[in-house]
Amino acid sequence: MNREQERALLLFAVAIVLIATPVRAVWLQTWWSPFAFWLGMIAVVALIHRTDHAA
Amino acid sequence: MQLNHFILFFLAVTLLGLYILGSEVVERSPRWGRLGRNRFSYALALGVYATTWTLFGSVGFAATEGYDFLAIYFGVTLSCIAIPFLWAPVAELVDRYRLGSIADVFAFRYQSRTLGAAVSLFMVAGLLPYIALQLRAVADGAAILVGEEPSEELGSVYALLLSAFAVTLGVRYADGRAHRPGLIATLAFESLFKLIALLVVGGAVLFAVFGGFRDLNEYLQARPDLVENIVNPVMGDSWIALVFVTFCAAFLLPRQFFVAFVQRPGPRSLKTARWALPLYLFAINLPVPILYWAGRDLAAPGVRPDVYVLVAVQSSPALQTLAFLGAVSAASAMILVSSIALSGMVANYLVPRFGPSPESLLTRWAVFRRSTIVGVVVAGLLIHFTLPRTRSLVDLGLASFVAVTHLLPGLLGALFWRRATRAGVLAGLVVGASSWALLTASPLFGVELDVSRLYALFGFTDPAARGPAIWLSFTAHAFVFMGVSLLTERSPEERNAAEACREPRVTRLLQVPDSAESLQERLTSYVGKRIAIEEIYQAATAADVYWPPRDRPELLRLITELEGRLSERIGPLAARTYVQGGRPVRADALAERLRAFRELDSRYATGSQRNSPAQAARRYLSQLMSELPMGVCTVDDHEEVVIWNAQLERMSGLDEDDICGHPMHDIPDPWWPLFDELAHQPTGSVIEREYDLGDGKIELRAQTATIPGQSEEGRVFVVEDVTALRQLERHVAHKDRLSSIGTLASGVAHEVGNPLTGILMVAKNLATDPGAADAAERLGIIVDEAQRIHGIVQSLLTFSRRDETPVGLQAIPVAGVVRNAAELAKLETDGCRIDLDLSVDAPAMASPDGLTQVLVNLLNNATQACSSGATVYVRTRVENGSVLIDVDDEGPGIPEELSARVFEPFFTTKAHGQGTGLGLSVSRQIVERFGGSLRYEPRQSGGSRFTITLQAYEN
Repeated sequence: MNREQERALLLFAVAIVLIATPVRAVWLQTWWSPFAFWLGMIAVVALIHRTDHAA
Repeated sequence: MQLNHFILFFLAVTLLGLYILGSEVVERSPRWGRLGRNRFSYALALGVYATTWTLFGSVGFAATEGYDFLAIYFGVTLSCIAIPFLWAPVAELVDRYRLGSIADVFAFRYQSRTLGAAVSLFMVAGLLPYIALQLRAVADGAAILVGEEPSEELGSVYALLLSAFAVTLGVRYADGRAHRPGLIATLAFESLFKLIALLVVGGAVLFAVFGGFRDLNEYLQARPDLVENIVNPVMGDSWIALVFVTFCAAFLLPRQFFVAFVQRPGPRSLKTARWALPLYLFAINLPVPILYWAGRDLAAPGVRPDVYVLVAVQSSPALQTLAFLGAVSAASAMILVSSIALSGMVANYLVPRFGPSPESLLTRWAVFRRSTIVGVVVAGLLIHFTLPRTRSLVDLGLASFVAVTHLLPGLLGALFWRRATRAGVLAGLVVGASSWALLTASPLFGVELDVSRLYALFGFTDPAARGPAIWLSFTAHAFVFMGVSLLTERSPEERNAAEACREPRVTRLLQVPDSAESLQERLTSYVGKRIAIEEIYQAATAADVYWPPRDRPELLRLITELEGRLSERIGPLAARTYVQGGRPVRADALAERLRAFRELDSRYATGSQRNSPAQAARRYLSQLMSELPMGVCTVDDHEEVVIWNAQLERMSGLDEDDICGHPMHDIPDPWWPLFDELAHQPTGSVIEREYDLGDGKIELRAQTATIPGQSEEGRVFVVEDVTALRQLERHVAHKDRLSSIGTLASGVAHEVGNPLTGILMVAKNLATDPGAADAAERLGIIVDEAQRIHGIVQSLLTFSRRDETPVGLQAIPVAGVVRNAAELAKLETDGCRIDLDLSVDAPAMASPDGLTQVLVNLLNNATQACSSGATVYVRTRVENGSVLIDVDDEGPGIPEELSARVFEPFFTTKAHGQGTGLGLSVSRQIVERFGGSLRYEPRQSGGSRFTITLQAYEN
């Protein structure tokens, strides 16, 4: 497993916790917060993609 | 404006016609073809995931289950995060073995056509409700817009339209070739269109119905129950099951698999899709809650939430039409790609079992594929008529999604579990498909089973929730798969295929024919001479190869094309057999070698032989390869990249993981054109090219050699970054030119001084007698003399200019360049004469500035070596297709013991301070970069002869 895959696996684990466990109540505060959480998650993936690419 | 069926149908036909036209333009035009190879187009094309379910169904879903509808997209986002470790290995496998569908993956890994057939059958059964969903959504939408009740006749009309579209484009793209830019571009346009349609409709509703964001907030603050109703379901039981199901669907749905892996335009595309696909889905879902709240307030009682999108803009026929066209667009794309993907599975695995032989499939494949595409769409239409109208779009869509989750265990087994067996996968699939049929599919047709006691047994208290049916059937499948796999043995073929799936980068199961004749013979033995010739001819045309292929790269290109075309029609196993002979997949030498290698590794790793010479040598070679200061790329006999070392990663910015295991022609520019050019040249060939890689220009020197093997032959490409070296050379050459100018300085002063004196004298005379009768004649003398000075100055300027394009060769007239150089050299001849014999004036490949510099150097050396009154001879001639220039002098010559060193830098026989010792060294470098040579030999009659040999220009 290369570095990019390790990072992706770590991010995947974090995302699972945030999406599929009771922790999801955190981003369910308002009608727009799920969208904000979703966009944040995409931004993190894009940032990691950029870092992987630069490396 | 009152909408009617004619207008809607006309607009739908126009939209689909534009898609067909656009795909043709992209397919035919190299300029527009780039659109289909762009990684952003690819990410947009993956947006085919968003169907009418997204356009209409999500609002209906939100109405009944709140933000649970977001699970359908959060699952995809999660799946995209997993791209590097889950999608990427699948992509590698698909690329490596030219697999065309998920059924191909199963058939290949588990070496079983039966398994391929089982997967195909299950997918057809699972996907038909989804196709029915598309037809229903479009027909119901049209009925709402014209104010009628949805009818089966209306459904049939739109079903026929969408079928015609799917067949027209489907047959175009079901021709056995992967990476079709026309298809990717069409899907990308379609994704953009539906995104824009939904955003425009959502934006219009936001401002027209709610008055903007602030007012929407106030509206929701006044109705907290609305927010609670939409947010609370996410904490319920269905959420996790839905996320899981869509996690699988994102890449296992046949249409997603087809676009994501089979049509993937290049190695980098998947990386971009990691964030671009979720971003697209995010954008297209933004208007959904707004449309739901608006539709809820505006809809009359009894209107199904699935059509709230149209209700929310009921005051604007234009916006209604836009939303409807968005749905037509989404449905057409979904049906198009699904029917291509499913028809491939049906053709490869279902029909050959019961219908025509592979040979006859080859001859009638176009008709056959058309029929299967039509068959798939018609079957969807029948389901559409059969299903009760009470079922929501979400119910229909989810049934298909749940079906594809049952592909996950077998796929994970293929990628990561060598112990998985075909019996295990088959048993798991049977259990999974049966439980899916009972728990998920049968309720769609009104057959409700009482499973509450079964659910209660496993602790599920709410039988109406979506989770229990999904978890129970999947868990049962997974347990049976693992249990049976552990209890059964793998066949030798399965073992080899398992190795190939785990290490697709290094394992090769292919035995490539070594000549065009053996390829034709092999294919003939299976399908007969006439069909074999036809197939090879078509593949050769598509691959742009003349028969017979002139070298191995061309043969490999033809084989790849031929196998791809056959694979699409008769499946990868049969295609491989036809092209490579023997059993479909057999014990392969390389797979065996790999296994032996691994066993050796593990033995060494356990201790006793850790430091054996073989292991040390391997480690040394591996380290050497990675630390070599030059780029190394090796490709195997199938033109797929095996090694892409660290230096090449640094030079190119391309990751080893993105390149290794992929076909050579997938390497992005400029690397693929560079290697392709080299691959067509003999071993030892060297080429130099300059490229702009974005961060600046880079000069590369590349050479190649073949790697001979017993049964296969590869190639190695070695690439050096010579940018700094060439800059240094240019700097040295410039210094040398300046040095030569210094040498010429006294001659220049003399040459300029003479005409200047003349000008001065004539001008003085004119000043004292401006009205002289011969004033015009005297002015003419001034002009002539001034022009002479101007010529000398121009020659010097040209000579001293820094040459920035050293490798830019051109055909130049040799005699003209020699004449110019001689003019310059005559500025400082020390009383020598330069005799030119330029009767042969053949064009040669060189740069004029570089050749002038070399000649001036040689002539200066010659004149300095001669005594006063001696002659320097310059002669041009043609010999063996080369142009030669001899520079002979009548000097004392070079002592024999020193003659070997004349081209060494800083070596000089001149007195201290009279020469840098760089002239001949630089001159030889320049000539060698022209592809020529510079050599010295003593003259028979005394003196020296320097001969420049240049490549003659061949028109």
